[in-house]
Amino acid sequence: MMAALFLAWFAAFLLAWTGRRIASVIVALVSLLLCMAMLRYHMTDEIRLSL
Amino acid sequence: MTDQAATHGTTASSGWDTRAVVQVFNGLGALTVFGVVFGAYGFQFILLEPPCPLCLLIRLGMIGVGFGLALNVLFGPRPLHYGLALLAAMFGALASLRQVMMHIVPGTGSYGDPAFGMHLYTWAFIVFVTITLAIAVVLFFRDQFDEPVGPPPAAVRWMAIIVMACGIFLAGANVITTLLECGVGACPDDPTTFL
Repeated sequence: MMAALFLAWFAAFLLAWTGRRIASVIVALVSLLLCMAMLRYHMTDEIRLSL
Repeated sequence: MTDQAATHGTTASSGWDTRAVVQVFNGLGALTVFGVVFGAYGFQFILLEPPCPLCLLIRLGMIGVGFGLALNVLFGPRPLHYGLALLAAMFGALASLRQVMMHIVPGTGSYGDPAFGMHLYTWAFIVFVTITLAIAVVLFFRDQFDEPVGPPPAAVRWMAIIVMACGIFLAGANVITTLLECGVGACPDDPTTFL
């Protein structure tokens, strides 16, 4: 799954390189959202915050 | 120097204006974060330390910041590109801070060997905060968003080629090495082997 995230960034770079700026930004934003989901996935549920 | 050039601080004859200087600055920033990822590869293959899932997420944050800055070099500075770089920096700072917090209590161990006195995830957090501050300062220069009066200097074009090549190489190389380490499933929390 993690490799797919790098693949998404790779695609964003390729889109930018070929001049498709908006498409590359959209792919990058989706990648960033998936990265956030992956970060949450790798966090333990035993998180306790004392605010 | 024309009136417009005088107003916007441009030197039309050389092509070096605020926009071009900021583009080079963005390129140097992108090369810095890409250099960090190259350094992480050094740890992976020279010191034989396979990256943990959070380490890979930090790499993704670095590549994201580099992507936003690279867009500024390739297409010219735009608020959209800066926003993307800032979001990626926030994500990277969150991931690296998460890893710092996991080991912040004395006696809870650490992950990997330190470099220059601190662990890579601590350095990564410092880099993400520094990049955020640098972008905030660069945004002071409003002239960078003006329409270009001519083609960019050759240095900017070369910088765009170098930055994009580094980004494509790093993202592509990480696809392969991460696939070999983690496969198509979730990455192991405490990896012991790679490749």
